[in-house]
Amino acid sequence: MINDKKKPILEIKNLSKVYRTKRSIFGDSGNDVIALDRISFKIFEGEIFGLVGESGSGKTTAGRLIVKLEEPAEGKIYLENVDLTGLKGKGLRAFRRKVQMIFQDPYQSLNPQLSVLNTVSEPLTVHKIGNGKTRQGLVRQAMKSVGLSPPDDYLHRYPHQLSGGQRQRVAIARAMVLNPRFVVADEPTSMLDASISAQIFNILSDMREKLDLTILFITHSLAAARYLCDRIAVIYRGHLMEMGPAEEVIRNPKHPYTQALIDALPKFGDCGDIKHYGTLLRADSEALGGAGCPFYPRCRVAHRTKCCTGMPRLEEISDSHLVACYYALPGSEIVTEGDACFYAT
Amino acid sequence: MVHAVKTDKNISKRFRWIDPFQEGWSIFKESILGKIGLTLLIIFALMALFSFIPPQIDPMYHPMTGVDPEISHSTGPSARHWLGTDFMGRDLFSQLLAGARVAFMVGVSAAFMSIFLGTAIGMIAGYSGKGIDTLLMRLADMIMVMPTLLVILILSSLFGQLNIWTIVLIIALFRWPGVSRVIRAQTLSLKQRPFIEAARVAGASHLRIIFRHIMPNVLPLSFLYMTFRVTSAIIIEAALAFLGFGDPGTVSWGMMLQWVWKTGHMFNAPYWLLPPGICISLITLSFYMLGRAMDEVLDPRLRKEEGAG
Amino acid sequence: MALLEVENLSIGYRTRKGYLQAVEGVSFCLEEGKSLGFVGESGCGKTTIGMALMGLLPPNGQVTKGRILFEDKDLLQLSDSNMRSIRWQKIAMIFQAAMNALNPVHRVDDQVAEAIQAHNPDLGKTNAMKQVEGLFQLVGIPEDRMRDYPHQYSGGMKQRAIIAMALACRPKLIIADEPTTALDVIVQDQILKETRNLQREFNLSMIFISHDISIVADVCHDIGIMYAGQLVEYGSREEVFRSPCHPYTRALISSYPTLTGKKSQLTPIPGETPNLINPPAGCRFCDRCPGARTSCKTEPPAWEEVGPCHSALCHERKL
Repeated sequence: MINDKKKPILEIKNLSKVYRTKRSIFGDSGNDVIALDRISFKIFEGEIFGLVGESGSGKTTAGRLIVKLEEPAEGKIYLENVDLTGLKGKGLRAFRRKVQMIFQDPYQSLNPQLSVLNTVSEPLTVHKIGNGKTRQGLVRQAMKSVGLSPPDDYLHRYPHQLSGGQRQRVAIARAMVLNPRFVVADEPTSMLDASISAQIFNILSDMREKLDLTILFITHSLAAARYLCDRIAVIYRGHLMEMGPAEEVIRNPKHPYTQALIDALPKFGDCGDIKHYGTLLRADSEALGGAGCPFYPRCRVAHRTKCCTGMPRLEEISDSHLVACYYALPGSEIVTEGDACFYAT
Repeated sequence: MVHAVKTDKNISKRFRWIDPFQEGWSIFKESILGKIGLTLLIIFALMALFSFIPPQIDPMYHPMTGVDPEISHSTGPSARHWLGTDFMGRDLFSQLLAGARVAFMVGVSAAFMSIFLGTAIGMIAGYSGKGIDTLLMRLADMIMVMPTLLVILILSSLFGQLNIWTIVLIIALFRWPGVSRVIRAQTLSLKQRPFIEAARVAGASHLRIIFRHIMPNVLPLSFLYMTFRVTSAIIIEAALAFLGFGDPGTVSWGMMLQWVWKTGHMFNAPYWLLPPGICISLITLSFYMLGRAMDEVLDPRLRKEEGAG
Repeated sequence: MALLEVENLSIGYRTRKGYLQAVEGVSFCLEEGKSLGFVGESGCGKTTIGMALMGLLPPNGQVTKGRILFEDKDLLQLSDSNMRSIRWQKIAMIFQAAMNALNPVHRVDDQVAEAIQAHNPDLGKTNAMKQVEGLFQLVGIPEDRMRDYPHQYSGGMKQRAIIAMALACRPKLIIADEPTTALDVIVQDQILKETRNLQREFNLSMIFISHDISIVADVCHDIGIMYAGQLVEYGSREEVFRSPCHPYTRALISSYPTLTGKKSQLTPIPGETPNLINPPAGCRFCDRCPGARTSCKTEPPAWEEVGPCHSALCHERKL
């Protein structure tokens, strides 16, 4: 549910991040990798916001900047109107209580030497919440809420005794035990079997309901984003390409890249009325230097001069649906072809 | 509530602190090197333990001061002196036992100290990075290239005879860089692991991350290196003692060798020369083999094929 | 006539914790030019089947029962050297995370040429190179990128090179184990499309192994759903997806997010997979099955025909 009356909990303004590769001593400038290029968006209180993109699109970088694992090169991040850049001491501690992260790989994100109890209670210990007894109570509660019940079965186990899905649930319990306001979930299911993923999706969506949480859900799968998210932003090579209500972006994608993503998703079962757009020109291609649209080299509809000289701005084409493409404006519809469903062939 | 009933059923599934040791032990048991090493070490440990017994039986068996009143020169093995006596009639067997005690003392304490230093410095260097890392690692490089034995020789010629604990301390001070390099590398790779980042996101301080998250993950490696450090400490001490720079107040195997050599019994008293020589070789070998076997326990890649599902 | 016929295949591993029955009583057959997909969670034994077909089980793994008939020869009875001549020549495999299998210090085309020459020692270097050129064209690697090193390739290109390598000896059967797991959706889609085209072009038989039901649905004619070491449902793609019979298949399909349908329809499978060292006596899925009855716990289910070329391992149909 998108609601304009809701106030934004997180606001990102012109955020950039550049990774410098090592320069050689011979004065070779090296290649700077621009992970994020001046992106701006807002996330409203209580929503699940999906950031969808391929590997290397900068989606993980955005998440890491928000939880302050890294510092931006440029731009500002505001959480509840507090500027995060240069946050230190008390302010940083308060921020750490409010924002948590769920990592991609549950096999890597739990300390192998710590039991489940110690892992989940760590944030409580760090923030000096409660004493030994009350902490265990909070841990039990968090574990029940992620479906690890009865908690006593798991409290004294170690990560290597848990399955991937159980580990990820422990990681979610650790993030939730502080009762945070905002959680960044960085591809929480990409390392898990498809059948386990649904459990994780449901836990996240329950959490949102119960704890009045706001979630930034980072994923490479539009289908997962559609299931979980209220709004979706599609990111490609550090640029936001399209942003809008989830159902709208998937039903009515305007950017050729979003359309290519939808085309590429394997389809099975009831395909319904999914169209095939055929906007993709080439599967692999190098990044385009300069000012043009980053998707230009792979875009079938792109115009030779227009698209490679200037990056189109993210513009609202209908109610809260924003697209960064010259061809997405009303009146310049893209021709579509073919059928995506195997039953029809 | 439900908990109480449930736990009973799952008690067998529970993880006890002893479990990793049991698992490690079952892997260790399969290593031939480990078994030989451990057996030898147990023998040496028993020797060190029993070194207190001969002086209790008769003061003449005291390894340092006990002289057999009836013997005034080196004699071969006999019922009275199982391995014979040295040039002034001291019992070689009790000296050998005392030497085991000294070897353990020197080896383990020097290794422990150098591991402590190396682990601490390695973790600090790896975790803090940048300037501190460079500074500490250059220091480590400098110490690493210094020949330990030579430095100790110079020191002892400057300050006269060194006490055994001073020697231990010097060995420790010169032997940490190797360990710290390994620990630093391990810390660097751990620092990138998401569970450290998760702790940061949870708000953990640097100290907490180092002690709670990094240390437990590098300690097994430290202990592995400890077995190798024991070896080098024992060899250094033996070499020093043999060259005449040992602690004159202790009976170590190196010291025994020095006495053989100094009194000119090198080639005519094999009963005196061989036992300490063999003991030095075997104890260093056994620590080394133990280390190799532990390596196998700690590093899954060295293990023999195990089924993947 | 079927190219590959597997009958009642059982494979076990000796592990530190006990004997692990990784695959039990799996039978299927694959005709020339057809593709078969195995879907299941990790640890369900699907990779083990692939390894057994290649004769590449780890030393502690063992085929305990069954036959693997490939062109009417039982692969399990063949000597090592005979097996070696079939492996890669007739049956090739694309391994999980195969992209990492390229040697970083050699040029990609040299590596593929080397693979070709290893099996045709009489072939000269220039001839081998010519073949490589043809292969790369086939899998869609541009000519000017042939002499690159692996690190200059993107993930998709590496995967293409690996597919080229698997095709090098013109095998009859290719086993692809999670060939696109580490790839982005767009690249994955391209690779799958190309595999389908190649398969049609060369009349290849393929076995596709994946945990992702949508990928298998995309490329395979027949589908086998695996659970806890057993094949639980087997049939043509259309049949299996249109009228899934086994509760596990149904659960698997409904737990997968798609672009259409109601949002609320995603239902996860509760519980965890059973331990294969001490597998349950009855149906292995009964603890997680919504429609399980008491008899499911004790009696192992039997195969039931539910339609033409569609069968399931479930008690449900007996009613």
